[in-house]
Amino acid sequence: MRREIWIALLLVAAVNAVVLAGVTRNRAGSPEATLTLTERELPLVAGLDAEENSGVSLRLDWRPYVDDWGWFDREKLAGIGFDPDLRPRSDEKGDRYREPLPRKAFAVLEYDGEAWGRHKAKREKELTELSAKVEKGAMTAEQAKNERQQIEGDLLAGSRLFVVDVGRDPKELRRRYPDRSRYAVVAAKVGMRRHRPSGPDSKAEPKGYVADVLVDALHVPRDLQTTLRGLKADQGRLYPGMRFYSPDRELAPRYEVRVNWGGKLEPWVEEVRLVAVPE
Amino acid sequence: MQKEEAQQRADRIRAFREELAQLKSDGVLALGVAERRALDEHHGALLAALARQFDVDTTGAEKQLSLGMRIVSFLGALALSAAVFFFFYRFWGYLGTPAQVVILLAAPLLFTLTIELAARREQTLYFASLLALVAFTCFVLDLSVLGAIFSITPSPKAFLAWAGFALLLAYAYGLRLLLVAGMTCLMGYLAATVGTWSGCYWISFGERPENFIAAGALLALAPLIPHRHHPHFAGIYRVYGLLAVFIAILILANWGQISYLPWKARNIEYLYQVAGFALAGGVIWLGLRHLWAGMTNLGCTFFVLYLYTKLFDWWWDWMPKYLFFLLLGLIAIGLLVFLKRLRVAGREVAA
Repeated sequence: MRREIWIALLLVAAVNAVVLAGVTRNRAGSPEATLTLTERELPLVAGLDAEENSGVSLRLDWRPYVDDWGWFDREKLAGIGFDPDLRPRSDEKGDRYREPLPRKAFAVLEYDGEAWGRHKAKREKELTELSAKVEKGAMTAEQAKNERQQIEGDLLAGSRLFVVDVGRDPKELRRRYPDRSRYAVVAAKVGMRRHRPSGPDSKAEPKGYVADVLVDALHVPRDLQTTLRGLKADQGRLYPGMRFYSPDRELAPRYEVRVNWGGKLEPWVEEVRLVAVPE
Repeated sequence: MQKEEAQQRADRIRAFREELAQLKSDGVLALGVAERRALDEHHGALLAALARQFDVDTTGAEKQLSLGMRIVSFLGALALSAAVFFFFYRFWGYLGTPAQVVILLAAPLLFTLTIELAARREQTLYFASLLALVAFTCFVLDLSVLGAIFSITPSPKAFLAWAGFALLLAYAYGLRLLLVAGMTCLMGYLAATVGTWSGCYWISFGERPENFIAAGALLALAPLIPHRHHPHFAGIYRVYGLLAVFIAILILANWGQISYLPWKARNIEYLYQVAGFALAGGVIWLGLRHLWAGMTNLGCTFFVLYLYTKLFDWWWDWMPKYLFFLLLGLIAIGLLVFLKRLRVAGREVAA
């Protein structure tokens, strides 16, 4: 057999060995974080009735912020390696300027914590104000009904996983957020853009944002799939706006998933459990 | 002797025989019976030996059929690769993780071994080429699916592994298709690596075309390493690498705002427009000088493309369409006249 073929065979074996060693290293020892999430944060991607793909996967549904990226300020941007003083070029008018390319950093995801509490309170306040808006004529009854449906969908089915901090050093982030059952530190793609708050005299300021969580798809191993395969395929996945399309469907998560993040901050599904949907 | 050289020799013999017949018909040269017989016997034995050893095409019909077989082999490889891909996704959910890993690892290994078996049985390498592409697909599937199963953070190093595998198969059997696959992966890896030098996350490498200029230039320079066993690879490297550079320049010449350069977008566009014309001219010159037909054609194509996009910028909005296309046609005729004169001048120099 030719020498190149031997090397090709060795290359395939070696690359697989390196990949699997990385997986073992990630899962060795106690997990870096363990969160018990629900269908709200981990909706099904595909696999229940998809003929061409028999795999079952879940997608990590995280929310970028409660009100704005106010906390992702100049100091944090500089810490990640952005230049917050980047000025527009002479041919770029106003606040427009060429955005620098995104960088890799680490983000803290908070589950069912203070960020969700603030978001929930804000949405509930919006709900109580709807009637007053209709009375004042700022909104029609039909608009109020749609808005109510949207807010209720968000409160009952929306994800409670929020990005609350970013940084370059995951260990430092873990030091700041020590609760490993509520906060997960994950690799993320972050960017910088210029943001001008509302108001006539406001000045454009550089603000950071999280563009992506680098690993947001979780494969469900075969021995944990049974629970999910048992769900009625025709009900599909849970999402906040589903009442518009499936008015009879209960807006409640149908399962809980225990997810571990390992030493390399890569997640895996540890357990899947059905939860009773209220009648 | 390599297969390409054997095929060139067979083509020369065929052309020689046709010319000899023509000379005889024109009454210019007629070989004696003994000479003719000796020549026929020599060429016949030589062609038989070449056909036996390298499975070369000895007639025009065979050559046409070979081209058809190459196309069928390529389409078959694509179809089989798609079949492997969909077959795995159809059933992987019913397999436990260890079984998935074993299948993903075994598939590229097994298909790689079958390439060697096919190459031993068939010297034209149509089946070997087909199986090599399937083996490459299996390796791509292997790493991609391992990444999905174990939620692994994406890495540009996967491109390097795929490139290494494809290039090893390409060099083992002289397979052009695998060379192109390998170069594509290597281009991805190099462009991503160049992109990370500015601090950006590697997945965003496609947003700055300059990354491809650096990667393409490196590939175009690969023939500086001698390719004694695969001389035909050198031209493929040059054309592929320069194609990437030309496309990146074409994009930057029209959208300066996506450049790394800190200048006004308009100035960046001017710079790349000038660079594009200069590079196209240089590539045509190099192609003519070294008789690299692929490079000359590539240079001519992009010279015209750059010119047409510039003319479009200048004239499309204010000129009647018939006049615009008339001018394009006239410019093409002018270029033809120029190239024809260049050709005649080259012939005179050679004489």
